[in-house]
Formats: sequence, C-alpha cells, structure tokens
Amino acid sequence: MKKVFITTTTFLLFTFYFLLFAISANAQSLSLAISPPLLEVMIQPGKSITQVYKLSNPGEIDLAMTSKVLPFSPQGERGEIAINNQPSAINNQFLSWFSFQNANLALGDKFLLKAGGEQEVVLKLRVPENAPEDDYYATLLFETLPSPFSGESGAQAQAKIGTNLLLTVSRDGRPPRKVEIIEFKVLKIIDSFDRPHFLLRLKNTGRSFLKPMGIITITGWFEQKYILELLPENILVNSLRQIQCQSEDNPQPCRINSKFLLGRYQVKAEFGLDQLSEDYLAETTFFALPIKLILGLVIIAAIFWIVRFKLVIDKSLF
Amino acid sequence: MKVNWLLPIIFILLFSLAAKPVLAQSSVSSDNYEITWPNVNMGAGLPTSSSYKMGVTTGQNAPGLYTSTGYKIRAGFQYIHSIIPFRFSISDISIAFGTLTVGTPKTENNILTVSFGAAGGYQVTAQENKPLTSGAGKKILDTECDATDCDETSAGVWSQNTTYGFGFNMTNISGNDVPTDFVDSTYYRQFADISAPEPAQVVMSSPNVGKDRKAMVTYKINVSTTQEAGTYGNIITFIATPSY
Repeated sequence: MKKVFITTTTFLLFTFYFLLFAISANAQSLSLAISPPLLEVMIQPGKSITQVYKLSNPGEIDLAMTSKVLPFSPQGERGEIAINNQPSAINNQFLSWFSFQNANLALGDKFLLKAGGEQEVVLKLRVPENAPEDDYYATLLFETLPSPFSGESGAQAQAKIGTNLLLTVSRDGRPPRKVEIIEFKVLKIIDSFDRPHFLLRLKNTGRSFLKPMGIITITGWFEQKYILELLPENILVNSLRQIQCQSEDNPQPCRINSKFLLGRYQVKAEFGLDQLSEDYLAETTFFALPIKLILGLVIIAAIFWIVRFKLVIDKSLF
Repeated sequence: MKVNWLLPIIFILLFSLAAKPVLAQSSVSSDNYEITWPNVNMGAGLPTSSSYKMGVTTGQNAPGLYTSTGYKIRAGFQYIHSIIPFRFSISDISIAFGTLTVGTPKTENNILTVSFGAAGGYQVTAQENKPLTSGAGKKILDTECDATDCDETSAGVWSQNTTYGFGFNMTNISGNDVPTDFVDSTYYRQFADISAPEPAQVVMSSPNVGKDRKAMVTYKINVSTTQEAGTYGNIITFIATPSY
C-alpha cells in the first residue's frame, strides 16, 4: 500500500513538474532594433566625424551578423528608398569614406549578437579633401547570416535592418536650397461635415537635402482661422515629397480638425527651407456646403410630402 | 615604525585595485530621452571629430560655427524630440514545407512586425537569392498564378491545384501596410529574384508608423509530376528600413 502511494505520488510530482516547466518547441523568431534611425550630416571636405549606433537583439536566439554600407536613391513621394545592392565603383566611391572605429569590429566583419544583447558600433565618416561638393545618400545595413538548411524543402528567412545616412559635402555650409511647388490642392467643393485634405507636393531643385518648415492657414468668411503645422521631413535632391502635417509630434495628413465648415475658405501654405519663414507661398480656395444636410432635408420633405399626399388620397376615398 | 611605513602602501594598492577606470563616454545609456530641437538629437552616442570633441549641440544655428567645426550632425527625427529605436521582427525564420505531394499545394506562414514609436515611415522589401533549388541544381520555378498574370511586382489569383510553383501572399494583421494588389488571401506574387537580377520589392510600408505594425506572409508551393525529387531550398531576405 505504501509502495503504491509512493509510486503514485512520484508520478504525479513528475507530471506536475513537466507540465509546469516543459519548454515548448517554439518557432525560431528573430528580432532586431537599431538606433538612431537617421543621421543627417553636413561636412566640409577633409573633415571626419563619428557616430555611435546601437544595434540590439531583443529576440530569443543568438544571431550571426554582418554589416555593410550601400547607396540608396529616393523612391516614391513618401520617403521610401531603393537600395542599390550592386553599386558601381566609379559612382559610389563615397562608400569608402565609411568605416567602423571599434577596436574589435570592422565594417563587413561577421559578429555574434547574443539574444537580449546589443552591439555598439562607432561609424566613422572621413571625407577626403578632393571630395566633390554634393549630396550622398547611404544606408548602414546590419544583416543576419542565414542558418543552415534543415534537410527538408523550404526557405530560410534572412533579416536586414537599416538606418539612413544623409550626407551633404559643402565647403561653406550654404549649398543652394530651392524647391518647386509641384502641387497644392484641395477639393474645390466639400461637404460642411467633411474634413478637407490639403495636398502639398514639393520637389527639391537645389543642391542639398532640406526640410520645409511652415504652416497652412485656412481662413473662413468670418475670419475664423485654422492653422496646420507642416511636418519638417527631408526632401532629397531631385526628388518629390508629399508633405504631411504634425500635431503633438505625430505625423498626420494635413486635414482641418473641424466639425462644421460653411462658405468660402482661403488656404495659404507658407514655408521656408530649414527655417520658419514665408519664402514660399502657395494659395488655393474651397467651398464648404451642407450638401448632406440639404439632401437629408429634401428626402425628409419628400417622404413627408408623399405620406401627406397618401393621407389626402385615403381621406378622399373614404 | 614598520607598520607606519606599510599603511600608505597598502592603501595605495587597495585604491589602485578597487577604483573603477574612468572611461570616455562612448554612448548615452537611455533608449528614449528628450533633447529639444533645434539642438542635435544624439541618440546613441556623442559625435567626435579628429580635431574637435563635441557635446550634443553643433553649430547649425550659429553662422560662423560651421566654418570652425567643419560639420553639422543631426541624429533621429527633428519633429519627435526623442529617438525611438527602429525595430523589426520575423516570427519564424525557418519555412519548412516538409514532404511535397504532386498537385497538393502546401502553405506556411510567418509574421513580420515593425515598431517605430510615433516616428516617420518605414518600408520592408523582400527578395529571394534564387528560385527554390535542389542540391542537383533543379529548380521549382516562381509561380505565374492561375491566369499567368502575376510576377514580382503584381499579385494574381492562385487557387487552382494545377498551377505550380512558389509564391507568397501578404495579409494585414495590424495597420494597413500591405501593397494593395494583395486583394485577399488568394492573391500571390513571386519573390523578386536577386539572381535574375530583380530589385527587392516593397511588401510592407507606411508613411506613419505606430507600435507593432504586423503583416502575415503566406508562402505557397505546389509541384507538378515533372518536378524531380529532391530537397529544394532558398533564402528570402527581408530588408526593413526607416524613411528619411
């Protein structure tokens, strides 16, 4: 009896232990984080700077990693990039300006990023004396090295995480800055209950990347004013960007936060380049009419009229 | 007398051994902190130069300072007043299809997650190093979908068991960041093939990022009777980059 009790208790304890502490066979997940996500540099030829980057592995597995710097060009109008995986040596000599200053890690070296760990890298940029005054755009990429195949058909996922580097080489620190207002528009007639969306598209026609800084002012018939603050996002040389607005540090589409608008509205976008000013001005107008309200009233009136007409007919029949 | 002479030596030795070395500050320890614009946001460390060692403020506002220092630096996004790390995760890096049966499609999936606080936009692009290839060099070609209308840039319907190849679908889990040509879960694309060479294609993107934007990748494979037996594999690379 005692033996049975001991055996049962031991069995139950083991079962309980395994249920509590058994490690489930999880899928191998991967996670990477990098900071800072963007570096903007204006530098004279012959000078050098360094910047510390922090790459971390918040995931559960150790990662074999490597790094590289590749040029990119702007794509689309919302800050997307196209990384050039096969840069030509002639056009991208500037890639040789980048190196790591870590004692035990060179750019392109393999290294192990432990689960839960982080790696600081010190990126050095040394611009040669004879470097042409121009803009150079690159992405510092950290990539995982794929694990060996498991022996069955399938694919291995590899991750690369990047941080962008915008570099202007300038001797005097005042490269020509210029934009062209490609479009500033809003729907000409909107419903009074709608929130109009203002589209501002700018093209950088200067020689250096820049940020528009300014406001959109919307003025109504009765001098009521709404002000939207432009989001100072970078526009790269020879590229277009749709400008967003900001509210409490959050990027958002340029829309008035109003419940009801009525009449004619004058809209002005005023901005400067890399500083608040009124160097650039674009204007448009729109009309807000209670279209939905009028339609609703018409429908209600029609229903009322039909019901009344029917009642009159019914009465006349009796 | 002897004790008096020994005491200072012992103290000096103790201090030498116990004192922590004074190191130059190579980084700022906090992940998120606020440095008010227009000063420079230096998220992960302080910049230095061969001729200067700087604090967190460079001379962007003082007209003569650029000529003196020779550079200006800004790290992070101007408008968010803090530096939030850009984070990218893949839920499963091994996509194993097991044993394949002719005319019986198999699917596997994993989840891509991007976090970027309230900062600017991002994109995730994808490409394969080559079509699924066996050790003998035989290939499972990328699918062209039911109506031979899909490639690496546009999705098409793939629902028939008589359509063969390898492709993928993207489905939003949180956010609305998947390309619009993935109309529903029956729409598939080919991966851009580096060996072709085809440029990486965007599979997730947004001009505004919040926390944990998620999308599911569904990998689909179907083989025909003419496909040679073997173990086929390739590498799918996901490249996550913040916007500028």
